[in-house]
Amino acid sequence: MKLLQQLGKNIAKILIFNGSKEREHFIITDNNNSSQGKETNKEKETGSSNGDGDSKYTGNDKNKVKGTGGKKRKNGRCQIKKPVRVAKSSLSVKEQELKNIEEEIKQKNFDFEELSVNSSLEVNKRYLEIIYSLPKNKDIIIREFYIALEKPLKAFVLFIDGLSNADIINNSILKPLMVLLDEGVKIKHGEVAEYIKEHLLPGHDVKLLNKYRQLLDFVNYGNTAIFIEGSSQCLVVETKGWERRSVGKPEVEQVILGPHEAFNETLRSNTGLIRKALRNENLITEMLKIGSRNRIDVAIMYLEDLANPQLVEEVKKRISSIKTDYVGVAGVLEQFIEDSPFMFSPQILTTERPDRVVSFLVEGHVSIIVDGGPRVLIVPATLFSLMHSAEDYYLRLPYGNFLRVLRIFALFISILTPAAYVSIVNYHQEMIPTELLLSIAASRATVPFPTIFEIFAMEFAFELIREAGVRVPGVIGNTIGIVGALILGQAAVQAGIVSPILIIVIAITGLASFAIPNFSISFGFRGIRFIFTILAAFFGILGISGGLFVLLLSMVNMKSFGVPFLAPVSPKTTTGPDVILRGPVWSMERRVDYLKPLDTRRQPKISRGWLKNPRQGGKK
Amino acid sequence: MVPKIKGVLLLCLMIPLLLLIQGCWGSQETDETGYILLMGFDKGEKDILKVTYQMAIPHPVEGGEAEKATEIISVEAASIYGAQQLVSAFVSKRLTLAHNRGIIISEELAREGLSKYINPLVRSRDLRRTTFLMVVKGKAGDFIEKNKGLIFEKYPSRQIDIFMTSSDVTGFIYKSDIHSFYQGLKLPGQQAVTALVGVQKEKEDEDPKLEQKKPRSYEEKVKEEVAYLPGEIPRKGGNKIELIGLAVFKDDKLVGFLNGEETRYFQMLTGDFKKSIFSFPDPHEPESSLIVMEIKKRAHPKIKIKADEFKTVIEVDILLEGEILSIQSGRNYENGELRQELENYISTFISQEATHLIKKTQEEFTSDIFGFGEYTRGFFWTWYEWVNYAWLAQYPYCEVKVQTLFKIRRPGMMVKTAPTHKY
Amino acid sequence: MKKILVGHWETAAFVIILIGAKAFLGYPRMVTDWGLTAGWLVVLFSGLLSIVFWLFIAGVLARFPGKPLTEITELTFGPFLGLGINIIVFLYLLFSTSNVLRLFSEASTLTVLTETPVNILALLYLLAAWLAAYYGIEAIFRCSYFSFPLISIGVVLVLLLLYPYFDLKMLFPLMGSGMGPVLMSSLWGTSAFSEVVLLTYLVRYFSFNPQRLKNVGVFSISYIMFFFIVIVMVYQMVLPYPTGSETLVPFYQLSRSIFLGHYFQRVEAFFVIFWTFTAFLWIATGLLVGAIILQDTFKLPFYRPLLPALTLLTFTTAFLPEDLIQAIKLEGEIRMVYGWIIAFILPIFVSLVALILRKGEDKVNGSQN
Repeated sequence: MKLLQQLGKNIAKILIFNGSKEREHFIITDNNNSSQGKETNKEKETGSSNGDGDSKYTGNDKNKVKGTGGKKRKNGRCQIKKPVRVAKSSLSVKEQELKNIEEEIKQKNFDFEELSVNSSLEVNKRYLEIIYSLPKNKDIIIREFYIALEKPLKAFVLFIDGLSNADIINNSILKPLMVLLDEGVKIKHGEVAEYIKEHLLPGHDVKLLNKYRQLLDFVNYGNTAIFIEGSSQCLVVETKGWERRSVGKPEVEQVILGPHEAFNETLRSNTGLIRKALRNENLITEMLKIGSRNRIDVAIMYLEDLANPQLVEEVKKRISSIKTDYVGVAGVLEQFIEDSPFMFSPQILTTERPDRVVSFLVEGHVSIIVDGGPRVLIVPATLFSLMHSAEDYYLRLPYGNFLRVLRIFALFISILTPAAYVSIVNYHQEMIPTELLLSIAASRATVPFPTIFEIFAMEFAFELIREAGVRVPGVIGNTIGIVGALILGQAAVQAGIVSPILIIVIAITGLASFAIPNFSISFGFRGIRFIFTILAAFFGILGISGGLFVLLLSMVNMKSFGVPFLAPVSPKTTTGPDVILRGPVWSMERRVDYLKPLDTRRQPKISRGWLKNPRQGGKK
Repeated sequence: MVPKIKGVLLLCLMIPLLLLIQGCWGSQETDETGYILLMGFDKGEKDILKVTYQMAIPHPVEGGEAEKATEIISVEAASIYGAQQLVSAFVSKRLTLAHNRGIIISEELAREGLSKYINPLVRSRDLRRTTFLMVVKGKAGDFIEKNKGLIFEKYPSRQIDIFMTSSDVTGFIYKSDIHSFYQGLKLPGQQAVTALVGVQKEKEDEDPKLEQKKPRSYEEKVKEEVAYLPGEIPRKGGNKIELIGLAVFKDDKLVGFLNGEETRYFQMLTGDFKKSIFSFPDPHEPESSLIVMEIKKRAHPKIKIKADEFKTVIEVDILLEGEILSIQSGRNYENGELRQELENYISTFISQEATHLIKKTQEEFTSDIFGFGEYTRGFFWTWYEWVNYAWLAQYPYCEVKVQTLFKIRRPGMMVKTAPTHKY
Repeated sequence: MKKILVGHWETAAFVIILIGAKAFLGYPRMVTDWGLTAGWLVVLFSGLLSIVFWLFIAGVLARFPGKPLTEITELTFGPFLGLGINIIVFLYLLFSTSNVLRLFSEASTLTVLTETPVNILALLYLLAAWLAAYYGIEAIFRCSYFSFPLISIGVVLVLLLLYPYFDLKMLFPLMGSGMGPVLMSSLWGTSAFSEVVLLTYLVRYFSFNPQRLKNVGVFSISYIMFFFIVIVMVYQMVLPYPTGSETLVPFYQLSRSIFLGHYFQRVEAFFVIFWTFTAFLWIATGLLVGAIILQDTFKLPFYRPLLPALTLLTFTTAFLPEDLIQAIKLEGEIRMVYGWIIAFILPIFVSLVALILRKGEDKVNGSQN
């Protein structure tokens, strides 16, 4: 492979003769004295950007920093630059100590995990300068001050500009310590930090930390760290305050009757939205960290007395065992933890509405919230829960069921319509009434392409329009939709490239695929539609039948966190009346069985106390 | 697991590639196909069989000008499939019988025996057993050609459908399809019938040597209101073809025709009758006024066959009900004694006509087209015994008793008729 | 490997679909041939007789809880003879599967896709069936459970839509070919229900005890017997005796005759989906159970590696008969008439020998089933 590249480069050099001086290529050097040698050189020459960026670091075993995180710890975070040498003779004791530390850092493996706060402020400052690459890194602010005790104590605060709220820092940290301190406060020597935390610092969330790894995680998230001279502990105060979007309307899952709140990108406001709807002491939020480079929080929420403990264990196990450097949004996390990544259908439900999350939590599911995006993952998911929408429950029974039935039709239409059209027009012409067939034949008489080509061209155009419509700026976005779909189709018919019946087929298919509430699964069905069309073009209705069979097989085989995808139909388990059609709200007495929740009964048998007749649910 | 999935996917991908090399079989584009809507069989002049096809020329639904919508082709060959093949020599389409709506067989062919032509029709993949089967008085080619100027529909398929379903309201055409014809050929308890069609007689066709029919009395005119064979209806306008009557078969040969009126009684006896409009001479004034009733089937006719060693008696109870449409004389037939009288009169009338019809089939055609033989199935335990009984041979010698129970349910919108003043 | 268990509803659905696939091939025609107008009576008697056979066999299984029939045969007859018997059973299953494959492909060619060569269609069926067998027993059972209501709705729809053609008189004379021939043919006719014996080879995958298995078997046989009776009755009402024994694919012919007006006619292509689905399931099961029988006979740890070879074998065996008529003869005259011997009599023989030699789990209690 590399040989071919080399060859190609040489041929290119010969053919594209460049007389002028060759530009100097930008070359990314390793920091490590690498044992990789030739490989990285080759990469540098071809100027390839690091698609296999990790390879620079993977071969890096010799200079690996020790740590418990494995691959995570090997990477860039701990590449220590060679510090500037200072002349040996003019060193003071302190500086000698610092220099010793530098030597230590340089020679031994820098044990970042075990690094703890030093009682000397200078040493801590030095550590921080090395870690954060100060003074180059302008975001990180170290503000030195003196705590106004009887004998002023030197301290500094460490925070990140832009992530921390300057007001809180000024008013709740600096002011009380610098200005508002009572004269004559006596503190024992060893307990400075604790004293300050308990008596002097009016922050609502203050922690005492010792290890650098932990406190830097907090500082990176917007908290402020206070280092005090003589204390081997450091105070971390919660001062988060960055620009964030407020709670807005749901973009994708809109309902008519129901709350219009959606999650936003901040973890704490998301958990807050869930908590406000589910005011239960048993609602547990467990936090995990994920991603070795971006180290974001992942919150797992579940009801302690309801969710199956094995399920929770499995979720935690899967998430904490992910070793990668960047997980930005929930979508990426979903791909890491799902069972069958190659299947067409998602096995995890994502939603952006808190009310849906709450309804799933109450059934015994577990929800995963990833900081940084408005989507929340709900685990486990079955095909039927993917096909339900929140609207079904908020509407009355007949309308809710009507919507459900409509959606099932939409599902079949979106998969099968083009395939059925192809198979009927090509193979089973007898199925259509004669007049319709003759009309189709007439309209197809002027079209030069075979049916299958027509279908693919129109499908492709439709998908193109859809994709383009996503990116077009809002003002002309709507027009493109109308222009693209209708006029293009109309023009194509007039030009004689496609037949008008085909436009209707494609339009109905597209509409039907929008009727499916879950975006991922409708995407999956869009892909399947093509496969069905090909099968139908070759084998007529037998191809459709075979395709349905294989589809059913693959769905039956999928599992989502231990729950079969087609439960509760496929392995027959007891469930409330909520699989395809929905029963009335007072009859949903049992929870779904496939989750094996700790408490299966949801409502007592008689849930409407106001009815007089006991048989219909009232008291005697 | 991942490489395995890849392997399976590769395999699945290879198959379509293989197929692409060979092309897809059987895929028939709509513009390559010629749709036959009507098919007619005649005795050939130059060859054994002459087949006439009426093919559709596709036109879009909006294009409403009176363009030629169908093309009529006829070809002579030895067999049906041979004829179909020969057509490809001069029509640039592959014919398919998938949308064929009717098969029309000429009288000549039918008289010779149809089982050799029925066989390929039943075995065929394209043609279904629900296709209508008709015998034409005359030539099938004529029938299809004369039907060319379709007045109300664009394509004959719909036209034939509507014609046939009109038997639900008129009763003088029988909805015969290949299925029922085939059963009649093979089952030892009934004989086959088909609908009878024909072409309106032109003035030139009338044989001047034929003596004029003697003029009919008023009563006869009333009674024989629909007693026409196709081609004889006195009318002008509309399609050139006429569908009325029944062709009677014995075994597989055509032996005779029943006119429109007799077809109605036939349908009453078999239970296929749904409703029709009858005219009767007024019982009190048979020479000058008539009563029109819409008669509907009340229930399936009760047929009992009593057989002992000496004779077999067929007892039929026809159950009908009716609605008064017209009382020309103005008498109060809606009520009271007169009503009773009318009911009895009509019952007797129908019973007589039905008996007359059965006797006709017994004596003239010797063919049990009504399927009375099926009711003797219950007498035997095994099939072989029943076949040995040979009902169809005994049928001409049976006694027949027909009784009609007729009730007038509704008098229309009027309860009685006030007399017209005579000044 | 995690133990796979399937529940009793799925097993029942599985057996019903397996047995019911026959109705889509030539079974109504064969029954009409045997019993003339009393075809449904033949079905009734063969069903009852199969229930009796099944109760006996399931009783044997109760003496060896958790062991499939292959192991029981070996335990009873010793290694060599047991091996021989199991091989015979396997060969019969192979023969059945290839015959069914051939017939379904020919039926598809005849009815739906006229110009596609038969071997391509057979390949299509086989590939899908291979995938299903590869996914394993859970997948097939659940698939059949899921599709079972849909297939039955399709069948019932066809039967109901033929209402205008119903003619009850065609079911008389009641005894058809006579009591004697009817009873004799019901004996052979039990081959129609012989697929229920496949359950005995899959005992290791069931999550229920042999008592339940007995009930499942009885329930499935009675359910499908009822269905068969209805199908055969409708078939004989619409296409009575002499014409009824002529059709090649009776069910397809039935769906062809649907005519409810100008707009709802010629819809048989829609019902093709139902019986091709059944075809896929049947062939997948044939492959799977064949592989499992081989695995149990030769004590192999896995059965999946056997599948490619089995697929190829089935494919070649399917095309051994030279033409369709030979394949039909194989189905009607050999498989139907003698199949019950291998399917029912052999296990009964095994169980009798087991009884006589007093082999079985509960030696301490010495209990009989």
